[in-house]
Amino acid sequence: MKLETLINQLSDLGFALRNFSMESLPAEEAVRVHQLFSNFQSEIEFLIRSTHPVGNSKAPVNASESLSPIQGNLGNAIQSPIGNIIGCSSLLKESELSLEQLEYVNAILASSNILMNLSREITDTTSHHSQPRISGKDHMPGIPASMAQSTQITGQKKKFDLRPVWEDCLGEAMLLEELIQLFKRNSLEFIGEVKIHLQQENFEGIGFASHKIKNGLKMLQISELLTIADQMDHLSRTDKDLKYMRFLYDCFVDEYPQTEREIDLEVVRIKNQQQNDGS
Amino acid sequence: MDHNTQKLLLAEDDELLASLLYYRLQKSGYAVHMVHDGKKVKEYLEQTIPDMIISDIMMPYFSGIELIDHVRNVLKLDVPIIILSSAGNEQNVLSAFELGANDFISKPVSPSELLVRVGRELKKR
Repeated sequence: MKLETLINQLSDLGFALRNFSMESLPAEEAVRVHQLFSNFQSEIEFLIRSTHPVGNSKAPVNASESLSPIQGNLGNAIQSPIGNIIGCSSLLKESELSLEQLEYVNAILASSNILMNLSREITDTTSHHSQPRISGKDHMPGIPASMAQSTQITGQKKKFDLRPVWEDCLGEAMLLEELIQLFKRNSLEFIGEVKIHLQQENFEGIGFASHKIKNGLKMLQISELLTIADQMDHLSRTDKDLKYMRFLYDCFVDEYPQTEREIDLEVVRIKNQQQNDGS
Repeated sequence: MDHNTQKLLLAEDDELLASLLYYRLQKSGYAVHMVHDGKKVKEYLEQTIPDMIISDIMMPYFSGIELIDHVRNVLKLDVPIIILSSAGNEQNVLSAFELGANDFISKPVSPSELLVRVGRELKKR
């Protein structure tokens, strides 16, 4: 399942990169970017399929059975190029971009971060590391245990509860979808605003943005992102520890895409259930 | 329920919450005008006197506190005002009551609770 997700994410990333390069780069460069990415995608898919042949659904008896020399290097093979994509995309994001271009770059970054996390999760599973991992970051001294847990990649635990808001919507699926769209927009605005506020060391701005996003997170009961926003709001009024705030911000940016994806799936599930109940 | 002649002004900068409250209030038969910042509130009040104002405290341009002050002391209106406030804003809530707010609801707001409070305040009139 994880591998399928990884391949899907890879396709999403390819799609975003293709859109971006076709609209924003000269044709020659766009083709080059496309070729580079296609090669990269093929290599990763080859590595994945060679270690997990399609149709082989039988789970290994223990973790050591699933280890192979290729898998041992899988992490580096995947993570290094993804790291390059994240690095280059971050640099690109710093340059002057139109809103549309910025959206593409954000999509590339979000997908790359998910890919990186998934890749780490896979390599974690194949090695014997049982310690929780902070998504995309090393564990930071002084971080509360609840925060470490909240940013841990579990892929299992449900991170939100849409039932209360669904009840408040009186079963109106269109309203629920509208609210989710608004939440997504608010979250992206939050990510953009806080990035600028962090650069400008504008703690008041960080506090205001965190305060605002908290309401939506509370409404949808998205506990992990709410914990992060809560901490940022608190820090903006107390310690003003910029390094820790940057860390929290990165956690939010890492965590958000996966949460968004899970919320989308949950909305589809709710709608399907509603249709089944109705028919 | 039909409250078709009762006009409510809903001022909330969080569009997510505002949309949900707007839907529920409309569904209950109120005529709701929704705005997302204090400037729009002032503009609306220059033209219309609502039967009730439901307002967030922290809003861009013109806060909920300034709004209450404006309504009570500049426009000299007696319309009921319900304040929406986040936890930790107790000082603002006290200021709001001192300036003449009639009620307040803590966020996250339950639409059902809001409907009960709105109905109760309007019944007093």
